[in-house]
Amino acid sequence: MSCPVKRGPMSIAIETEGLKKRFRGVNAVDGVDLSVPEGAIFGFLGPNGAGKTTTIRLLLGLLSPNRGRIAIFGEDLRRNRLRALKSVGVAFETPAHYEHLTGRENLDITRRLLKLDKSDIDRVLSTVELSHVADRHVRKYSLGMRHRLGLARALLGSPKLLIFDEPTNGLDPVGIREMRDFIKSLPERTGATVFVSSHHLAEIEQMASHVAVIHLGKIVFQGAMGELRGLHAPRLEIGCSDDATATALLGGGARKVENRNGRLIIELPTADGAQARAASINRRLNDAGIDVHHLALAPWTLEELFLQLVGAKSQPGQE
Amino acid sequence: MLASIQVELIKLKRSKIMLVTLAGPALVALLFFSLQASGASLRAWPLYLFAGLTAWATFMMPLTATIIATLLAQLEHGPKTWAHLLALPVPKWRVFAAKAIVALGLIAMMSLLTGGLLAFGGWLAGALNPANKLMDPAPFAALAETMVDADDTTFGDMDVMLMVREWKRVVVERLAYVYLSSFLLIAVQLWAAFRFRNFLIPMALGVGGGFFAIFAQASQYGLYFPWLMPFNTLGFMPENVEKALAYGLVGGIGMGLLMLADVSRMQIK
Repeated sequence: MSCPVKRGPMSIAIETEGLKKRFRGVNAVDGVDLSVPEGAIFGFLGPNGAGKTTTIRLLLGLLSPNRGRIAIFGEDLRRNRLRALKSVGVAFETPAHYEHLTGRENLDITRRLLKLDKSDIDRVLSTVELSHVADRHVRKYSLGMRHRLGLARALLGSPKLLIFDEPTNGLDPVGIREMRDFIKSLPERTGATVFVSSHHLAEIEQMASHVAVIHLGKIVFQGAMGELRGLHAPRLEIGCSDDATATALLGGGARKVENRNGRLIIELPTADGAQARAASINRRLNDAGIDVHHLALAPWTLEELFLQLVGAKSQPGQE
Repeated sequence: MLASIQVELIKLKRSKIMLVTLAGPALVALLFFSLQASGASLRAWPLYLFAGLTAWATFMMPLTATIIATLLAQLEHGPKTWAHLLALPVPKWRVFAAKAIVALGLIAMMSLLTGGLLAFGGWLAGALNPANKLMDPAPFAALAETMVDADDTTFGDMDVMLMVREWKRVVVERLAYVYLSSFLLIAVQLWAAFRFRNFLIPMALGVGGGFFAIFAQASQYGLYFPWLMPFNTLGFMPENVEKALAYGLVGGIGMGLLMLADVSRMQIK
């Protein structure tokens, strides 16, 4: 059921083949083929329990697969775990640190194990803007600071591949935006490939150049972000004074108009020219004497996207 | 390996582990100092030190080894840092081996502290009140030999005259035996502590092991019970000393290797 991305001249940072992991008879990851191009921000999208974290733990050798193969920059993880992980930095969903130690001491632990120069600690602390609290105990850090310390730890040694598992979980809106901007800037700043998991479509849409969608342990979509956008046409959400007349007016031909909680939802054929179409619909309604008090391009929810992707997959001849 | 050990030592900063390392020996020394200072009947150094060593080997050492193994593992279980640690390009066995070496190092330190603090407590009791001063029996060995009752079983089958003549060497030797024979119980405790996130499991194992050791003493199989091996090296039954030492030390190394092989394959969900 997986859809490997087309191979270009780019080299591959992560490649998995038929990855499978079972827990008590349930396939948490079921035949996952991933191909993450080097230099990409690769979004790994799926609802909670879809198999994102399990996949990440398989990629890091924390879980051993029941079947399948993993290669990181061409190094087989099972045969050469140390060489494969040499170029990987990771920040987990819940930032785990030694609370009784300072931020600097926490980083020093990883630095010593990676046999890096002491100056690397100052470099990463400055990158995540934690230099001013480096000597404070981690138990006194806010959640946002802990997340940033996790990022700093992942950046030690300037790895070529950064893996972030739900990096914005639990952050406030400002923290989410800062984290997103930071991750977006990483390929340019460090040259690293970024693999980031999330259950927020909008978040991945804003960050990623490539995306894989996982559902019940299977990859239901994999490709460039533009391809995913092309799969779901944009929708226009309208609030007006006369729903019935507006529905009759706009619902001609193949266009489907749906009334959802007092708002009319119209699917537009393509994303191109969506704003011009919205303006044109607004004009038509005004000309017909209908007052428009709400007009917006409605984002797709992850649930809707899944229903569409899973629905498409279940149709014969789609695979 | 050195880096992995250094990292474990950094983690001990401001942790409760160092407190346990000091508290265990200090409690044993304090107990025997109190007894001596209050005019207990222990008049000679070997009796005093051996009584302290017995308390250490049967009760305090297994208990503190349990706590240390549990706390070392909880340093990772608690904040869930296993995932980060084991995802680094470092051999997994090395992470666990470093913890085991630190545990052995701490317990060695505790053994030395126990000996040192016991001796200091004995000296202090005598310094505070000359009536409680402990005596060195070695100069009276010849006299003592004529007085020893062959049927006296106060110290089991222990060679009392050896204790009188060479008590300093014997005490140091037995302190080392107690430590070396504890390797098996330390390996078992570390294995349980690494394997189970819930700290109650290794703690229950350690406390339960110590409790059953009381009954195991009477059993013919008591010699094979890890929590009893340190006690058996004290020499109350001289024929068991070498066996207990060999089972504890060699068994501990073997069990430690098995433990490393197993926990290195641990699945981190």
